[in-house]
Amino acid sequence: MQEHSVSATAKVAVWTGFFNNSGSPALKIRLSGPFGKGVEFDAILDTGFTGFISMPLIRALPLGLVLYGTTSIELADGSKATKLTAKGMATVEGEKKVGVVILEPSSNELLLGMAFLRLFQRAVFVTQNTVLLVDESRTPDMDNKPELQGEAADPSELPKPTEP
Amino acid sequence: MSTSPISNPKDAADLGEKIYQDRYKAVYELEHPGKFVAINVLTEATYIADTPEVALENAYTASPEGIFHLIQVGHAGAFRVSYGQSSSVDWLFQ
Repeated sequence: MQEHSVSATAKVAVWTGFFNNSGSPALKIRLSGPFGKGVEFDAILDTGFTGFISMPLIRALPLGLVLYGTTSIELADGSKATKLTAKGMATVEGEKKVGVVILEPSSNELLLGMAFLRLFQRAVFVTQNTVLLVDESRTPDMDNKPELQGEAADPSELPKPTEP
Repeated sequence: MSTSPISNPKDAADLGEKIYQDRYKAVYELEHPGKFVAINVLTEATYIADTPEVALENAYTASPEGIFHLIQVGHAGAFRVSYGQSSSVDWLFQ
């Protein structure tokens, strides 16, 4: 199977996102086609979207993305819609991944979906004022809880069972 | 100069759905549930993979001049989105 990673730099353990004007968690990414350096976008993290990137068609035109064709998407109300698809490369903190970009004629927002997190192997942590995308192999649970690292935990630190 | 029977994106999507329904759906839903299928609507060839990226890249590598419709086997759409009905009304596909 062809691997779609083109990353050549060391992985940054934590990416820091931000909240956009509407309060949605967001991340700066660079998106490019086969030619040119691409363009930087503020993209919303949308875990309700299963794809890689969804972006306004009009903002994709200058990027020169390679068109694949079409696809059907399923909306939250169960209805279907047809969209154009293209091949695009996203770059964050020097890491690059190629994925399927959905081109939206009627949208003005750029969305990052679950396939984006899967391809970059990132876990999202959102608190009241922080947006972090953490390398999946270095989540806080794995760093701080020895029982989750496959090692025996100190029994004195485990919660005691309660008597009925 | 080559000519194509497809004149707009809606034609390509409709043709891709028809090819899938007529030729592949019954078998693929038994043998490849959940997989992604890129259908070349010009040749009716299919490319199956675990992810949409691999299905489309394999299809594009095999046929750079193809027009591909992406389907996820057993699902209404290849992707799910959380936004509402208004976004489905596209001038491009009317």
